[in-house]
Amino acid sequence: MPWPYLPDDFEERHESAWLTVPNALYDPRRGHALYRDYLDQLVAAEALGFDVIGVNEHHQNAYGLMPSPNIVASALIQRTSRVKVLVLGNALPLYDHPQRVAEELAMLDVLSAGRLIAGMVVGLGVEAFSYEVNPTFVRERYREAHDLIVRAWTEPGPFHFEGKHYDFRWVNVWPRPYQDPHPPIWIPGSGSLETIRFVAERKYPWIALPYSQFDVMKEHFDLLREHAASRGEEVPPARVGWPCMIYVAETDAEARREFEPHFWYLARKLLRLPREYMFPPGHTSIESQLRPGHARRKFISLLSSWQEVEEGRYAIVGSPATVREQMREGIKQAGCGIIQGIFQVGSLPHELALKNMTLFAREVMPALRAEFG
Amino acid sequence: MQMMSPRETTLEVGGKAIQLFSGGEGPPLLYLHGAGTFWWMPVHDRLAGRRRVYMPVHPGFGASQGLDEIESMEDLVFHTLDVMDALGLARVDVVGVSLGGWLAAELAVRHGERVQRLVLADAAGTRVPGVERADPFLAPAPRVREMLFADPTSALARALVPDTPRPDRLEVTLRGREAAARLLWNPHTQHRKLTSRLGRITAPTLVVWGAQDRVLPLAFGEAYHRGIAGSKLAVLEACGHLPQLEQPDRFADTVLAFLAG
Repeated sequence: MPWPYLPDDFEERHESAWLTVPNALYDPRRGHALYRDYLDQLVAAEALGFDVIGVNEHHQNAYGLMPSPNIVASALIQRTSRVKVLVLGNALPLYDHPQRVAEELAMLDVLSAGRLIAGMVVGLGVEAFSYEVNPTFVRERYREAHDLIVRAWTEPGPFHFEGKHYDFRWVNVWPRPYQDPHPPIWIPGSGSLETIRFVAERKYPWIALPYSQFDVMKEHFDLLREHAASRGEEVPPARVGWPCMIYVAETDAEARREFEPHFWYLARKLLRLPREYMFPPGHTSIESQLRPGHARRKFISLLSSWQEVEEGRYAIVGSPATVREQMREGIKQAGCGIIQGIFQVGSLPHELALKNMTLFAREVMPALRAEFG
Repeated sequence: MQMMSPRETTLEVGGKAIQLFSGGEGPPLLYLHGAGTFWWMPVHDRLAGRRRVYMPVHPGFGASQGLDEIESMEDLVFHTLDVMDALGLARVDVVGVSLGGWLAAELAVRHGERVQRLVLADAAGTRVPGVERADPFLAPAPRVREMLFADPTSALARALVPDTPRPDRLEVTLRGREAAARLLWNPHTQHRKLTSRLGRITAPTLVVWGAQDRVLPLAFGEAYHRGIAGSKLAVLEACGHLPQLEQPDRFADTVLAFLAG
């Protein structure tokens, strides 16, 4: 849910669209209309035949206006009846009371009669600044909060959870989740070895983070499969998710013409994230940062030409035939069973976002379903 | 002056390997290093001309192990007491810079009997309402140089804070940043109650501050000076947050004169 009204000279005047971006640039009245449009787009996905609609969590930024994904998910649940609702937030380490996360997700699961998919995220490095959380503890807090929440959902309460970061004498979640034993848990990850090992051990579906080269993402999937193999296990495609910016229009030329300005708005303004914002000490382990692949990653904000976008497969853009072919190729190469399509990008207007989703649903999705199930 | 060759050894403290630099002859001096400067420098040579200098490297920095046990400044105080015990330093002159200055102040507040004389240089730890502390974790290298140095264009500034870390120093730099963040992130570079506890410090104290310190402006040094009865304040001109590097001779001479007094 991006803020599309940043000024043209934003890059010259501001270091980032995160953390330090002045909130005087936000206008609540325009924001009201935006929430309406973005909710309408997500609700439209149900009628178009998508399996899942997703929301995420980010703080103090113009990139995504959902500091509380649970609030947006609650609104979506009221306006849909079949589609699953993926909350690819709750950034667990940011919260001193993970019980609140357990409670709210359980509420969403009951409200939706079991349509919730619960994400559990570490949060971006910059969010350690936003919430004044020591980044050298976020990984420990993440694992501990995860354990607390899963136990709160599955073990009879009340019980005492005694951890290093969380010590609660009374864990007793009311209401309990609708799904038994609990909502499915999906984990997004930037490719850190910490998260790859975690999802391999817990056998959770893993959704890569968007905005890097396709090959870098694929390497992360391979790392996951290798790590699982070292444990004598396989990772089925259903546990591998490709987050993919998609834009479909009538022809290749029209697609690029309609999409490209909004892509650059995303890359140059919304994802303007200096290295120091992204990698506070300890947030990503030294082992992960020293891994040779880490340096190969080129974040979208560092791109300068459309050729780089195409070669790196940062986005799949074109006619239905082009998008079908590139998606088919990507799915085979990545070995993924989950496509997290990103249809609303940067400053893309409401009508174009709906047209994009509609064309994808009619002209691309059926062929992919037929081929990959 | 003659360059010393410091001894670099490994000290076993509480089951952890701790890197220790030492050199010089004379009464012992315990030097508690800052967050980004944990090696033997020319300033140590000058101090070692008159004193037996010990510089233990804090857990997680340099080649020292044991960051897992350090969750807050209090843990580092206990660790430092263990180091002093291991070195046989029952009561010693303590010089602390930046992060090490905060450590030295906490040590002196809690364990005054272990501190003979105290020097606090551009020390973290105090909180002064309305005075902002810069955040080197959030700044790119050129801005970090501006925060740290009176002259950010100097060869020293560029060598210490290069635009991209030297590949052969990358791992030790990342480790040091992690260890520093563990102690300095939250609460950010200070302990809310320390200022009100400074009256407990009985050791004769010198507060040394770089006049151009833009990480911890002089107001934080003045808070130490006000809070510690009888303390002296020495402000070094043409000096930022790192007097031990930017004005090593004047810094060392100021410290030695105070300790000899």
